[in-house]
Amino acid sequence: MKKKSIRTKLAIDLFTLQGQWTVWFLGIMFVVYIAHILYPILFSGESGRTVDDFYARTYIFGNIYMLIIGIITSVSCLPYYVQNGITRRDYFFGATIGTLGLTIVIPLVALIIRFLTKGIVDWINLPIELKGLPDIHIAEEDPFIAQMILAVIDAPSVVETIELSILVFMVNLFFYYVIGWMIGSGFYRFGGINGLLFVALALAIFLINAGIWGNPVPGWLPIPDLTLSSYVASIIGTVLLIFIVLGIIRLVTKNMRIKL
Amino acid sequence: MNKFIEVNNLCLSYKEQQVIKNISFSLEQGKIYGLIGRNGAGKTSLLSLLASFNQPTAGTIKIDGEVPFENARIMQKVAFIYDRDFNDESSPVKEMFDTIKRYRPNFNEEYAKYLLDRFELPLKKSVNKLSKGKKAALNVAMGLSSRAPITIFDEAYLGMDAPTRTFFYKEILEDQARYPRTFILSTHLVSEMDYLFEEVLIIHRGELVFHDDFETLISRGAAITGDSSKVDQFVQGKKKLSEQTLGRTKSVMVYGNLTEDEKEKARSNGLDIGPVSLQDLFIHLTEEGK
Repeated sequence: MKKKSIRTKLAIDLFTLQGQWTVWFLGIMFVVYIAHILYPILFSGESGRTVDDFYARTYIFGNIYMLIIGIITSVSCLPYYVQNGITRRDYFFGATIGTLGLTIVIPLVALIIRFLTKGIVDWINLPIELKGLPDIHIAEEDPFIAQMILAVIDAPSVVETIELSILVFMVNLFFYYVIGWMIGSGFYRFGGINGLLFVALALAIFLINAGIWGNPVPGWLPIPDLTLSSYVASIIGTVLLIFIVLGIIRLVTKNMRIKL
Repeated sequence: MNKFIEVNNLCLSYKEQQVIKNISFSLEQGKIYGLIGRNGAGKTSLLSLLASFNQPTAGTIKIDGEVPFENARIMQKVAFIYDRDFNDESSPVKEMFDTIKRYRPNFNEEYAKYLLDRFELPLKKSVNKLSKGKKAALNVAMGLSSRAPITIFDEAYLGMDAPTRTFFYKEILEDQARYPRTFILSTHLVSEMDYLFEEVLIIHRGELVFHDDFETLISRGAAITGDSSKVDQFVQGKKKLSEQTLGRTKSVMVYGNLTEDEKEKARSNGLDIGPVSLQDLFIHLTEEGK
């Protein structure tokens, strides 16, 4: 009973802490977004431009943001809580649950802001067009670096139905967070050079995930064609990857020494 | 004797280096222990094992009958306060206490407020903006107000000025009287803190070289004071720890118990026999080459 209550407290704390950072993140994104919409209209009189909507924008940047906060919390929060008498196991579960909460809230907030901005743009009749996710095409014959960057920054997208799109959004955010968590934990425990192995592992997992979603994967890499037949199957594939990464995090942090 | 903390054949190695070498001891509940040792003796490594910051390479630790590592019930009971720099801690002072309040079941808010007030710590200021002395005071205030059944202070006073340190020592004694717990105080400042210790553990190069109560330890030596030539004569053949001369008066600290005959002889020669200081004994027991 007590254990449960500690994990609940941790989940709430991690949700609140990361939620505060997210308010800043979304706030800054929103200000930049508004500037992006208004600046050309006000200063160059440009009209008819298409601008990706706030939801699409959060879809792309949210992932990198989650990757970063995954790294930050892994190296700062775990030691902090162990110093306060919390076990590594409780932190692991607490942080997982708290972050799951965050990944549910972010897409919903992004969606609300999207509807509001769209409503306002229509209402005051701004001469711009808001559109969904940008369509990035990278072919198999494109350079490796391009494929690599795509695998890391381009979140798998589903635009057909909003429910499915939100679910993919949530899964992606959590996927990027656990990757950051894994990299941070690897660096914290094993230090510089060995820590870099975790970056390599993260890139490999990104590529596998890209493969699952049908993005091109460099042919010379020993990654089989993983393209799954449906979005639902791909979502399940990413969720499985999340569980594998969580397993790695747990193995790395289970007996981790807290540095003084 | 109740064995609240039981350590058996404890070893810790980092790669090739063995920092804790086969240490065994047991500590009772509700006492104040002094852990002393020179720089690099292994004090912090030992304490970080007790606090579950690390796992031993070999040997066992039991606290309240259970292995503490990853044991939620035990880890909650151990507060390890060490010299932290807090440079990356941008949260305000108040937030640090909010966390303790959530996770330390014995935390006392009133006592925390009292300590914050006495240490003149501003609640709203970011921790990394506090001076070195204030950071140390904050650290100590968090440790004391947690009232964890095992409270470990590892040179937590570093950066505090003398009056603040005195207040800290006084609080250890007073709060211990109000709310008994096991304190382990690790320090270099032996002469300043020795009156706090009920028992003393001395570690040297990763080994436990002494563990007994304070009185037994200081009875292992004596300070002989009197006429310079008579003192010299008396201490001949004895292990001298230190000596001081003022005019024709001399005071020599010797190591080893004096027999009743020797004590009588000293008195008949007009020599005073006083207790030896823990500092001198510590220096002697951990001399280079030992």
